[in-house]
Amino acid sequence: MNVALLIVVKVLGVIGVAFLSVFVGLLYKGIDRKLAAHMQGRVGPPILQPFWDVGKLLQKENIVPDNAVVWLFNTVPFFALISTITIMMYIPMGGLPPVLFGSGDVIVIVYLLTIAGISMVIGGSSSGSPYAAVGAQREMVTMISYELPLVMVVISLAWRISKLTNLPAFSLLTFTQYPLWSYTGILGGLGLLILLIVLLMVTPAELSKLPMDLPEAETEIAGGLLVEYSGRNLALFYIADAVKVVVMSSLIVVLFFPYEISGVLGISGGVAYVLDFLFFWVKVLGIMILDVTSIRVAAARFKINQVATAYWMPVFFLSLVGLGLLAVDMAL
Amino acid sequence: MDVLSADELLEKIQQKFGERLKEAEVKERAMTDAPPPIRRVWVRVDREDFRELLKFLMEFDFPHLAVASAADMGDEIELIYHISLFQGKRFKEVYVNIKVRVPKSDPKIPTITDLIPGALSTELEKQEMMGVDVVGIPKEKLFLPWDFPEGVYPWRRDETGPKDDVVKYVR
Amino acid sequence: MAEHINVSYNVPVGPIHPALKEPVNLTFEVEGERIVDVKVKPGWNHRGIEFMGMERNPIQVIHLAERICGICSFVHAISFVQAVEEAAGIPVPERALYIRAIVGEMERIHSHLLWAGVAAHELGFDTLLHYSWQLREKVMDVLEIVTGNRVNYGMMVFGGVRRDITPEREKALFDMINYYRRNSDRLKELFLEDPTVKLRTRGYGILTYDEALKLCAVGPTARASGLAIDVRHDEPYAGYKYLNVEPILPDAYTGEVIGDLYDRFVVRLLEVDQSVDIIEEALEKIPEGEITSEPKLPKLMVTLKKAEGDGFGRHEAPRGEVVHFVRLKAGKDNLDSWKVRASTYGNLMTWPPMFKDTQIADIPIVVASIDPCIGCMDRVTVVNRRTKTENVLVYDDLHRLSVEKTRRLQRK
Repeated sequence: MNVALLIVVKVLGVIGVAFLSVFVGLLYKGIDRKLAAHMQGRVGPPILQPFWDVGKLLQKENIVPDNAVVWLFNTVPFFALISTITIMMYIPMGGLPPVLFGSGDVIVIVYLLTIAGISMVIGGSSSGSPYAAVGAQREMVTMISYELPLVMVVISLAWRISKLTNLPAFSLLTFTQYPLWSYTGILGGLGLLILLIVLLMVTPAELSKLPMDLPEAETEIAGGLLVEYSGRNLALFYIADAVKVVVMSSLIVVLFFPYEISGVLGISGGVAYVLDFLFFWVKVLGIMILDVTSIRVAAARFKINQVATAYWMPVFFLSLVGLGLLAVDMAL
Repeated sequence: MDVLSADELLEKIQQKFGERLKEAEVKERAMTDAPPPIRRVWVRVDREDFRELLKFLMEFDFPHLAVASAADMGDEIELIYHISLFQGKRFKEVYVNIKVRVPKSDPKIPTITDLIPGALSTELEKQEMMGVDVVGIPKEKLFLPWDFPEGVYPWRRDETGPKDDVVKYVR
Repeated sequence: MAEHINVSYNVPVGPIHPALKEPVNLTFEVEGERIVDVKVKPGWNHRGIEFMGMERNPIQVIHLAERICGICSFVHAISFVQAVEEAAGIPVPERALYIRAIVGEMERIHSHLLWAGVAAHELGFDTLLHYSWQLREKVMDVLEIVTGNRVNYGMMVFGGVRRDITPEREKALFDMINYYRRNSDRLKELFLEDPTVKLRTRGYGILTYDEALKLCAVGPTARASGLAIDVRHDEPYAGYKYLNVEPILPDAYTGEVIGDLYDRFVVRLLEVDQSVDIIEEALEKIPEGEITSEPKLPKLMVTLKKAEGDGFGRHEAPRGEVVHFVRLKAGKDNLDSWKVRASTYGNLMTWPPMFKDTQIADIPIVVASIDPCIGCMDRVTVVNRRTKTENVLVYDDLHRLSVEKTRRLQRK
């Protein structure tokens, strides 16, 4: 394949994945809202409501506070959205290889996730509101807290895979080729389960969803980081939030459930790619309902010191146990 | 702590203050013939004796101050401190309403916040609404806006009350 | 050691804030998340109701009193009516006393369930908000059946009540009693046994017994701190004279009194059960008879015009003791003096000690924990700072000003 064609394919792929992830993100947000409403005994908004929300926000005036740092205030929403969508380029969807195959790995994803968080912090701090300042502090503390267990999970899995193959261990494609559950014994399976639970615990904090939505905490700091945002900027953050949910769910799917359905059904060829692709999104939806929707309706909001203590002590300890079990399993 | 009835309490107050009580009676609540009737103590003292009376009541039980009411009597302002004693005992609570009159020319009354800290909000309210000068508390606005004009007291019925052009749709 | 740098800054909460359901302004001085100091400034919803009341006759004021608060509308009506009855010496038939107690208890159920939902929302637990408000709909429906209205019931009149409890209304009441009996265990389990709720409420926003006593706390706020104070028990009025009412302290459920947010949850939820019991007892004991001693309003007006004296009405509202003081002058149509002491007024002073050792995250729930119902007494007086002229803005003026501003923005 010549270079020009490769570039064209990649560019088309990037555009396609970007639109796809925004579309799926908003659609899943609608499903999430509808399901949460039913769980709470409400009727809830129509499933397409997030699309209307974004459309409405884009029509609205974009207000910049007088004491804000204007260029920062207006730039960071783009950073948040772009960095989140970029992660989708590294995710293999079903049988399809990632668009940016070969040029990045899990470590890049962890960094990109951080960029999305950091840009919200910068945006909040540059808006000059005391609520946003409190929100920025909270986002920073939360990030410092959950980052350690998150990286522990990723490194444990990569280390285990590096013992299996010579392929680059941190590449997501390798994860899909070596579903770890099939290569470990009972102890290792238990270790994997614990690591999965750790990742599921980290996700609500990563996504700022209840019970870890401290940076936004509507009743406490009136929306926190986003308090001064409106119009186009708010729409960008809104989409970034929706995509981030899909990104985290996809990450869990790729790391822990890379199984495909075409093999089970005995189908091959082009149909298999389509089926696996759809099955991938079903898995993502399942993880989202399990880890975002059902958790956010079942708990009260934590406080910042409780979040920090929880991630630094018990959750981190749990991830160590998971790693230990994996190691013991391999030694046996 | 002895629980006294309204009549016994009034008797004790009368023994202690004697002639210094301007008014002293126990009023029965006229509602139905359902026993036992609600009986409340109403007394009036000079402002010099007010704190002494309150301290005297504190010997029996810690008084729960509900609120201080105020009425414009023309040349004087009447403040009524609604205080209850002996709570938590069925049919035994005694309400003591202490009236204190201060002249409008010198509307000073000592604060009771050192005895009952919770009295601060009602004293501030009397200060801004009725123009009573409560000695010993900060002169700040509580319910009225910070920029409410000085010298206007909404509850007064004289020239310092709110002007007609300030009041719409109220009368 | 480095010199101490003052890193504190101010976070204003209110008068408009998602944590507040009514306007009040609290300015917090915080260091990071820790609260150092707090200043409370009420008065943003000051409508001059007492002033308005002194310009009206007592019968008109009943309806005005009911509109002091939308949630606890009955408590102001009953306290005011009792105060005037005392001043004018109007008797009340026994059946009316029972009906007053029944409506009062129904209002307590609805108010406590409403509060529980709001408190859960402040904690970020919206599922509980929707659950408790769903339960609340039952009592609202029955209130409508019994009194004719969901809020501002219009039940009170001097010398009695305006609507009787007929057999079909009684049936609706028994229905309601069974409904709450069925759901009470689940409600308590959801609120009091949930680990995340406990994590947020246990040990925060503490008001000690001494502070509650000295700061004149009333109602559930005082009872949660172990102060046994309940007008229905201490100085029974209306139907409570015949009924069994004990002040509820949190140790009935937890075995100890701490005086924190959790204890305030306990007291209010137990009081829902208590109110159900009281309604049942009242319905069993209620005698037959008249519901008012003087049904003709003109005749009542004459009595009131002749009356002279001071009256004092109290009622144990859902939020605490409500006190109305009324002075009538013979030959005068209008009230001579009227003072309303709503329960939040009594609890206002308890906020600062509760905020000790708390964080910004605790602000909404601590504010909500006394169930604030912001006292209200004045109309909007706008002072033009430039010209120093005063002008009162009423609804029409405000509407005109907003239209003008929109036009101005459109032209830009």
